[in-house]
Amino acid sequence: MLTGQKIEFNYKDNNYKGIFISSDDEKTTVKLDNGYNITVRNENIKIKNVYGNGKKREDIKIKSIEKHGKNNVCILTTGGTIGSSIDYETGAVKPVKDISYLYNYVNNIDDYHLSHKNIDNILSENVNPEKWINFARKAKEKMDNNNSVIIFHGTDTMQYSASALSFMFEEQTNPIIFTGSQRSSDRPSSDAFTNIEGSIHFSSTDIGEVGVAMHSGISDNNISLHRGVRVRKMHTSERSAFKTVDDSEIAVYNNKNIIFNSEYKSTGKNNILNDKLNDNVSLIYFYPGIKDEDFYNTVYNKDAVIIMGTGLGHVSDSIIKTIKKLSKDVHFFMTSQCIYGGVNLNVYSTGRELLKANVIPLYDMLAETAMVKAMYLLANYNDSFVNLMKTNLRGEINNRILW
Amino acid sequence: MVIDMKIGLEIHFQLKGNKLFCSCSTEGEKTDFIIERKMTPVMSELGKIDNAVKYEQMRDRTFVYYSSDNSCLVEKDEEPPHDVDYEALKTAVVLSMALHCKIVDYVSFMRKIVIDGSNTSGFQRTGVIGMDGYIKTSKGNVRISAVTLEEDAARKIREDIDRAEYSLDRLGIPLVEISTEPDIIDQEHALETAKAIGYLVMSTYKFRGEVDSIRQDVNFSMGYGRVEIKGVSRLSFIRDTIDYEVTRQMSLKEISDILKIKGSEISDFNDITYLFKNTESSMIKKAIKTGKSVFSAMITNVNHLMKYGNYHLGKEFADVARNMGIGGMMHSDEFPGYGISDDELNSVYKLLSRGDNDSIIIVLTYKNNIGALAGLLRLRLNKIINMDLAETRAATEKGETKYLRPLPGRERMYPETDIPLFEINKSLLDEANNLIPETMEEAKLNLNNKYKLSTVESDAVINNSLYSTFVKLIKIYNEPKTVARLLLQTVPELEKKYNSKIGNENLIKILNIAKNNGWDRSNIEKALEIFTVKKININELIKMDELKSLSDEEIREIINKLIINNSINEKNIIPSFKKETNSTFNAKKVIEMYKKLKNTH
Repeated sequence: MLTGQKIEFNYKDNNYKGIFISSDDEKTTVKLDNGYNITVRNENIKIKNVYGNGKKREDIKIKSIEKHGKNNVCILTTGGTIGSSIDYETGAVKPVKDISYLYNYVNNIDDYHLSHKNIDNILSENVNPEKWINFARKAKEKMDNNNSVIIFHGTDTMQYSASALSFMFEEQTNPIIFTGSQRSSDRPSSDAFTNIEGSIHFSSTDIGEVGVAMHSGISDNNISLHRGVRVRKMHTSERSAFKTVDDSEIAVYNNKNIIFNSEYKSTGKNNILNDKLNDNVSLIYFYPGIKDEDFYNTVYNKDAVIIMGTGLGHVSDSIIKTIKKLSKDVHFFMTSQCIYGGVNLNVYSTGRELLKANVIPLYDMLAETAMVKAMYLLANYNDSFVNLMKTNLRGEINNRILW
Repeated sequence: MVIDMKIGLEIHFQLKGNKLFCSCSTEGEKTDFIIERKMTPVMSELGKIDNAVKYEQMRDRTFVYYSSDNSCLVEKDEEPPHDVDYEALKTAVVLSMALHCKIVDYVSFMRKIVIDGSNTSGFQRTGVIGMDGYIKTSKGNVRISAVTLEEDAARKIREDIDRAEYSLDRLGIPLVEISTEPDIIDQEHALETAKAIGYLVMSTYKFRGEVDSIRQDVNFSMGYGRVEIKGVSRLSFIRDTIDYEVTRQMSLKEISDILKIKGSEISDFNDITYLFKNTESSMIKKAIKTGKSVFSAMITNVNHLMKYGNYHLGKEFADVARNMGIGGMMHSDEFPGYGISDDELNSVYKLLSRGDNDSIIIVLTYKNNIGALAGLLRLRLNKIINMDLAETRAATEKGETKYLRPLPGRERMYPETDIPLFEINKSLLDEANNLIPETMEEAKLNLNNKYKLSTVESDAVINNSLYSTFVKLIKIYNEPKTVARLLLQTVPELEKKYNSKIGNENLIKILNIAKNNGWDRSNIEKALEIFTVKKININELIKMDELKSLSDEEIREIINKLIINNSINEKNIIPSFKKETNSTFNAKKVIEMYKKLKNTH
């Protein structure tokens, strides 16, 4: 039987009509005439009649998205919750290819000249450096054609992708805004619609940076624009999961208005993209009792290693010994698992030992950002790698943390 | 005139304990923390947007939610639902069994789209537990179409044109919905069926039993389409509501018959504010002052149908306008009135070229609110002319009904993918089987035969939903007559007299003390009164002078004193004894002891 076919069946001696949804070796799911699905054991159900051709999805009217506002905006979709819908056969959330119906429900859409291109269809845990390069090339193509770029992306690894594009674009003619949603767009309460609305507004500014636009709080009123290299997903499920760490957000959108909260780099004349990455970099989380050999095996053949140390940037004495053995061939950098605040290796003897072992403190750079930055610099600026790691390039190092 | 009525009921019962999909308690208070949300219509799995859903979207409202001390991220739609509450699920299975339903093998929870804002997620989670059962009534079996387990909605606090406010304290409370087929034949039968179903639910130990714990919807049809009447608040209103709906539909039928011949049309709305520049009508003056305009439209051939005798067509239109946030519609059957002068009326009538059979309606609203009204009124007029009255209506506190929204279709249901299928296995079925409550008939027999209560007493126990409490108390204090009197008289009277709840738990504690100290009815009643008045710790009761039981030695002393000083006999020993002490005593023991002692004197 096919999903959507009408059936007549018998369950525990009563006759019913319904629509076949799915079945497996043990059970069958049927949609009853009242809209409810019921799931029953195969031995208890007898299918008596089957009609029709099954799956028929009526098209709903899609608003033309080629509007005549003055700002060209191209939405690149990569998958994720914002472009997900329910798979009625498996019952799981899966990425969809056609997300254009979303635009029907975005308030300000008519003011823009909007286009849309599908460049991938994956959940964001499957994104990798190769994908980042692809996203960056597609974004450049669109900017070269005078478009601002919005990238729909799964939220789980959005901060990594946003950091990667931040570094790879040395100059850009238009804003690149990543956005996503914490509630899938097939729910009436989805945050997708307001996130898109905010993103479209941000994309029409002269911000020459890569940002992430998501809910500021758990209400549907404010959308924050975060600097790609300073943002982190700080909650598993809340709409307001994304926070700018140790800095101000670039801007906040509310009801067709943008309020800027910090300085930003303006758009440039050209799109300069360095689309090479060296992914022989490791990010390692120190924990009490971590085995020397585990640490060694993860890092011994890497070009660079970002350590997330405890507190101000510490690891155990035995790990320091391992680092000392390897630091002629491997670059070690220190960040903190505290997330907030900078590292400082001068305060405790452990820190001073780490400095002696050639570990380089990265002050308040986020560990994930540091990892992506290392990949970018190793591939493009190998000669001045260590120096540039310590230098602020895109706002990733903030020498003044305000409370 | 005999009307062929079809009535079905949907009765919702709250369960107490935990919320259905998180670990919050069902009991709690609203707080001042608020969140603001918008809702967006979405497609069902077949790609259609439900009619009722589209209607709400048209209103484009903002929803405000007040958090509560019994809500967490789940109620705020900020976290996926947790596993279904086992106790609530078990209770739904118990009720399905009590109603002879086929139980599903697995519960598939669904999302029922509701974007009136009453659920933060935009849907209500609901799952079928049992299907195709029945309940016995004096007029034959009424079939039960389904027993479902769902989350209760958020509690509405206030509502405006562009905004609705809710509290999250009620959101997520487990709700068992029992729906019947349209087998109910009249108003009395509806009441009887509701009582019989209600009796079963109230007999389960999980029933919440607060003021708003039972809500019923009535599905009604007399041949002009199915009307779903939401939220009939009290049982007795079921009858009033159906009476109202019968009268309404019969009156509309007469109107339809007239208009089918004459025809009727509604004009567009005209801004006639300028005609009221110098008006004496305080209502219109006030509206203009607040930036509203005066709009008028003409409806042909409905003069003296709008509000005249049994005809109330005006109310049908006013309901539609009120739903758009436009209150206080005026029409020409009410004129002269509202302080509008004859000159003003004449100039309106002239402007719209009103004929003698036509009616004029006037509304006061902001310019940008008037747009959709004429179209919606035309839809309503057509519905009435064609006598297709199917829709969702709301029950009012007066036992009337008012228009709420179009009927929702099955398009509003889609699977809740965040909750895995829940298997109803043999151990759950066995557990539930042991918890099936007795039916009303079985309970009555039990009270009469096993506990020897009179018919009056047993009916009172049943009708006041006290059977399960009665059975519980009998296990502690095995004096059926005393327990019945306590439940039916003593407790209600004390609660009324001192305006204070005693509560079953306290009653149980006091009966335990009574059992251990040989208290009789009068002791228990005294204890209950002291407890109600003084609000003391129950364990302190035994220490009070009035309730301290006399020892054998003390009883003997008092009897001896009485025998010496008074002429007492077996009949007056107890009243005389009472006068001598404030403490409690076992009356049987006093009489026995008196018999022995009188011979020694």
